[in-house]
Amino acid sequence: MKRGIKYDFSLLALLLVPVGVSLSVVGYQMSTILKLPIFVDQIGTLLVSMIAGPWVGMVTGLLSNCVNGMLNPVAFGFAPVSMLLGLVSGFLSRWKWYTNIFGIVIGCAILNIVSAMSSAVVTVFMFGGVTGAGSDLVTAAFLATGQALLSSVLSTNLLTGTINTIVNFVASWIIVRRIPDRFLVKLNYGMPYIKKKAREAK
Amino acid sequence: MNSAIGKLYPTTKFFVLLALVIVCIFQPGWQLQYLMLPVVLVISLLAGTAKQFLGTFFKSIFIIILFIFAIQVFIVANEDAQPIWTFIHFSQTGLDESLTMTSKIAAISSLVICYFQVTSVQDIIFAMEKGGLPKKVTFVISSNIQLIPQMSALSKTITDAQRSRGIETEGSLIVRAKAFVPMLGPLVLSSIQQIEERVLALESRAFSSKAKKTSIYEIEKTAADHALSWLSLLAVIAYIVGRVV
Repeated sequence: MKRGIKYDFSLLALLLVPVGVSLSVVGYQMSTILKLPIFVDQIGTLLVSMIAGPWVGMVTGLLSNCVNGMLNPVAFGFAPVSMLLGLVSGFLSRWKWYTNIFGIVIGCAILNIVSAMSSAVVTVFMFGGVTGAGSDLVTAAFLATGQALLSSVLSTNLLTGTINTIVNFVASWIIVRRIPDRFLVKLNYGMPYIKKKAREAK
Repeated sequence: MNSAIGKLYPTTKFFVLLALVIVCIFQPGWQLQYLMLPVVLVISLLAGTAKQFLGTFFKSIFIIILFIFAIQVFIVANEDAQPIWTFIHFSQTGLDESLTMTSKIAAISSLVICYFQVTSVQDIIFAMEKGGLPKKVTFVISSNIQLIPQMSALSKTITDAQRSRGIETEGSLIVRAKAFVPMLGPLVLSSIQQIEERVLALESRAFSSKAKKTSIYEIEKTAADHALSWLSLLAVIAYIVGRVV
């Protein structure tokens, strides 16, 4: 099957982008209001990248941060993080990593490292190590033990990011599994998630 | 958005924004950048959005600036740090650094906030389409903006429905976390069902057709728009020339 960027952007996938974005926005607003140390803001990006491929996932990441940025411009700075996350997760889904538990665990670890590193770079060089959220206290604790700024932020991201990635991933994974087969089959990347029984019946 | 500033063509406002942002990024020091705050405040006063602007500013940017100062000045261990109490110390380099950093963040983000408050999204999308962006791109952006209030209304309905079945949405962190999935699941699934209907609706209205479409909504470029666009371009050129020479 030929797979290019243009092939990925079917009308169905295009309409999935706004859904993913609004999911991410709702999650982001929730975690900001509750001042949780966890950002539940990637459910939409992960969900869309799983079932619609890396490029659509990347666009979802970019747009969700732009929409958040209209309310809180800090989110603009973190757009590359979401984009990278959507891209990587989409490729993992394309390579059928998410169909077995082993692939999921390694995939989660890869996603975690990617997002932790990219957001550490953004946090340190753009905002001086601060995100304005609950996890700043963790960074301050690492700094107080005498570590350098970049490594403190990276440790914080890896620490809170692990829970963050798992929560985001599990939520979107559960949702993907609940999507009816007749919708999945219309999507370019929905095939691996169709329940086995239904596939054998065909 | 009915003020004189709100009625300007969106691209014009964008050029002005871009010019100011460029100056803010490349100007060393922090005085000019912090001077931008009162300027933006005056602009939003003129446009009648000052109240919204201050609300957004204090909710997001102000907090982050406070955090940056706290971490950079008192916690990061710079060479010239003078101890105050156990791990808290005062450092002059940290203060200077956070001044330059926060001034840029404050200036650029308040400009961006102000831009989105004085420009309606409908105008931005119209200008994008006029500027030759593909219909698919503008459609995705505009449906994003329209879908979010719809989704929050839907999530409110779902929350009410689940609450009437006895789900707990208030209480400790664990109780609230448990309520998360039964609230989010129906939201996603019902919106995915809506997508299928929307695809049919769009296709039946010739969305994928290559023919040129006309718009019911029109905004005009006035003389003030042209003047302001050129002025901001000239200002940037003058600034760059002034910095290099």
